[in-house]
Amino acid sequence: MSPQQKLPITEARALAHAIAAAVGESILGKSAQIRLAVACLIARGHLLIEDVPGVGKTTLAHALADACGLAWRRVQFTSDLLPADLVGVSVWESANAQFAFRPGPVFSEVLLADEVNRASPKTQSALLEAMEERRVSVDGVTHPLPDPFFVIATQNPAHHAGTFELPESQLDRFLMRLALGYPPADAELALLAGRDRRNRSVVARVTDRSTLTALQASCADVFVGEPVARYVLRLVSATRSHPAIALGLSPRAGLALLAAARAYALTEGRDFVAPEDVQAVWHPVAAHRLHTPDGRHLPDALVAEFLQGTPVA
Amino acid sequence: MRKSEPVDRHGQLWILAAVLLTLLPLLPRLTLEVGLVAGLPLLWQGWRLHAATPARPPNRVVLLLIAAVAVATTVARYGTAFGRTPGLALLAMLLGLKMLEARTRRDAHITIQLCFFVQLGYFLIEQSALTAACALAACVLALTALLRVEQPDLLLKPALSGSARMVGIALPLAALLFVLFPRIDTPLWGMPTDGASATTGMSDRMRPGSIADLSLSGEIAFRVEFSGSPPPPAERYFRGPVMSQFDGLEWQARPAVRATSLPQGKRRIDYVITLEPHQNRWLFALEHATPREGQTLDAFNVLLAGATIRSRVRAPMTSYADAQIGLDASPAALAVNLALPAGSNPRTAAFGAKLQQEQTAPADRVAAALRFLREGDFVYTLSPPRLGQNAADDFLFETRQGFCEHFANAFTVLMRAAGVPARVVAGYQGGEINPIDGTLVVRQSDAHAWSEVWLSERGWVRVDPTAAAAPKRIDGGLTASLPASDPIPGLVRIDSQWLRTLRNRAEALSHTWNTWILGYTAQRQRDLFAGLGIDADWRNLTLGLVASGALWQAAVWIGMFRSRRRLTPAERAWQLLLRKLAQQGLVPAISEGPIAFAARAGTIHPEWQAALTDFAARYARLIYGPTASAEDAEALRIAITEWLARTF
Repeated sequence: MSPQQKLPITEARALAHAIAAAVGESILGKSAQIRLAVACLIARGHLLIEDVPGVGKTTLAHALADACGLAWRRVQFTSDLLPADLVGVSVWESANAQFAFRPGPVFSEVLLADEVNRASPKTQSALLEAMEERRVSVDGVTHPLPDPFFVIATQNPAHHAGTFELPESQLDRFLMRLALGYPPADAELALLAGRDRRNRSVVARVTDRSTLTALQASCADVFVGEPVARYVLRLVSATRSHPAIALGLSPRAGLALLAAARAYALTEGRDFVAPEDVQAVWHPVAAHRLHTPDGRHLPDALVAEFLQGTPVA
Repeated sequence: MRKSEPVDRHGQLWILAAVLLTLLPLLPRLTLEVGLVAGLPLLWQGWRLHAATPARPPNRVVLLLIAAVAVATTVARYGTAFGRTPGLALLAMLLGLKMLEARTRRDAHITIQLCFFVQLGYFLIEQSALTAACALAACVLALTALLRVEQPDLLLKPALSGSARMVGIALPLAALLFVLFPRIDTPLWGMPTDGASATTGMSDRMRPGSIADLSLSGEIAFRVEFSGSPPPPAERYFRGPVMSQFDGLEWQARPAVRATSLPQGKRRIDYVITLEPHQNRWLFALEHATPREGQTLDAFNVLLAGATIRSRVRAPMTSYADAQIGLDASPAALAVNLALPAGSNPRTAAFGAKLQQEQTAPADRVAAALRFLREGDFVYTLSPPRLGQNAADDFLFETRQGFCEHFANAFTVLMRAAGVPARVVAGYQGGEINPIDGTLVVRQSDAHAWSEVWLSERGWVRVDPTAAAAPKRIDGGLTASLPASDPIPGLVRIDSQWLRTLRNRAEALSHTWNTWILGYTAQRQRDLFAGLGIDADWRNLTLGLVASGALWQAAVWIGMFRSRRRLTPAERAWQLLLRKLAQQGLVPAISEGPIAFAARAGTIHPEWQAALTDFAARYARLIYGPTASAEDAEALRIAITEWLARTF
């Protein structure tokens, strides 16, 4: 990555709010989730949305991409989707008498991977590898992915038939996991009455690619003091000694928590991380990395218990 | 948090655990029906709290009913609801009820205070090291429950370590109080007794079978610490009552005056005996003791304590193994030891008369009688056949099976019949050295009876007829000499080396406890401080107590102060605000950061919202932000002070 120019803190906050506001025009009554999704984007992390169909996952991805002026593509994951369908193939071009690489949908700035748990493990891991490495190797040639590269994956929460659960070890490639949930009553009424802009797909373009990368680069300047680092350490170690948890949070999870908290602090207009920022991103960052010994998600109440039981100072 | 606030399920579970652990050590001391009534509320509470959302607490009428049952049980079992054991039984039963009805924090506090009270009650019944350990464990758990009620978010580990730390800070103070608190020789109040408690021990009467009963008990009678090496087993005769009055069936001790002369000798033995209570005055000294301070020696050379031994007594003693006693015995006194009731034991009387004719020297008559015992195929057993009215006759000439009192009885009768003054001595013989701490442990099963005969020139001489027939009894103790089929208490005959070592360790620990904790009397306190060159006057002790208590408290405070981080100016400014807000009932949760707290306070008091949000943002920047300048902190402090002055 080339040296980036960064945004001053007030501009960064204004921009983040503008993006969130633009997305909020499309999806009513979900401002908290939208802010987290924007923070996830700013933190250069990937987003997993776990929810039932029809609550606006695609709309969110679309709106985010449009507001940021990014190109986006959508792939419906199925059990017969092959890795090549995702990353692309080399084809013989008789005209030039050589192989030419035809990039797959992964070469987009925003990729919506719909129902990611329907694909075979092989395809899943191709995607997750691309997410982690931010590049793709085909036939010995490495092709860098665009920057920014933002994956929004969706999956159904229940253990549906014909799905392949994402392996626990790969779930943490996603910085956050969000649930959109059904809209609140007044928002749904607006939707039904046609006042929602969901289907008009006219999201105001708030920024462009280069400004967005500058915004992402500003995250690095958000200060994390020792008290906050200690607070994160307390939170992380609390999960390691809890009897209901198979495996506590890893150091990588602690770093992810701080990265997300930095981005969130930016959206709050702060150039430092406060414990409140860590708390705001705790659930979406930590919940999908924690499992009960029999492999199930932790109940939301238990995830929240760590926040309530850990002193901030 | 207010007093009337309800206690959550976890808090109630903690209280249940505390009550359970508090009652457990007490239950074996109470009767079955008391245990059942006390356990019922615990089971009920356990069932209630088993569900995630606890069932409703029982109706007040039901509680009253159980309370009535508790009182009725106490009165039915003990005849009264007052006194030591009935009181504790009633308390134990009501403790569970209090817990069952405890809903609010106030109730929880009362329940836990009751737990502490019951833990104190343990010591009214028994003061062993085990009791202290149980009380300590129950105390830590009750403290943890108290902490948990006060701070519902507290996790298990910090709660336990918190209460352990409290106990840790308190223990040195308790030790100081123990060592330094001025002690008095007689207790200020008496312990209420629950009627005569049965204590096994020596009696001042002996009839065939009475000591054999005692031998079935593995209980410790006393422990002896020798300042030098202990005498060999064959010389370990601890003298109890001397019985010279015989009615043909039973030997009985006669009241005696003080001894006029004290035994003297060259082989001096110094030792300390720790006697278990036995409701009599005998100190069971080795042959032959001279009285120390507070002890008396009676005319039979029996060493007596100043008062009846109702609690464990530690007595230092001095004996002279080679001392001779009774050299100056008066003819009248000797005549008593020749008396036999007319017509009893005719065959023994005839045999005695024959001995008297054959042997002119009394010492030869003794030797002849012992020879008769040694060569007569006598069997030493705990379960001899029943003897008739003339026990000596039956034993010597018919059954020839008996325990030490049979031998002592028959031999003494025979000696009297042969014209040698003789009497029976009861006491303990042998004992076992505990290899862990080197003390000699003497059990009830070491109870023994032997004879003393009076010979001119030598005075009263000990003769152990049992030794003649069963020498193993004297050298190897009871178990070595009895046939394997005879019943012996489990603790006396232990074949497993492992169990034996375990028992030795437990007894050594218990002896250390008895010596240093329970035996720390006013006298020992004086001795201890005299050793340090300090007069253990109550003024000195109180002064020392207050001074060292204050020193310890200061040390604890300094430790706490040092471990606490110094507050930065920003934190001091913020604390100023928090204190004022706390007076308005606004207290941040432990998990609440300054910004979140200000936001919450702002929704409750919208008129303060702007100021609080500003302060919180500035404070957060000062402590979490990159640059914390002293000027910013000072500016925040001024802003907060001014705002507080304006607002409150």
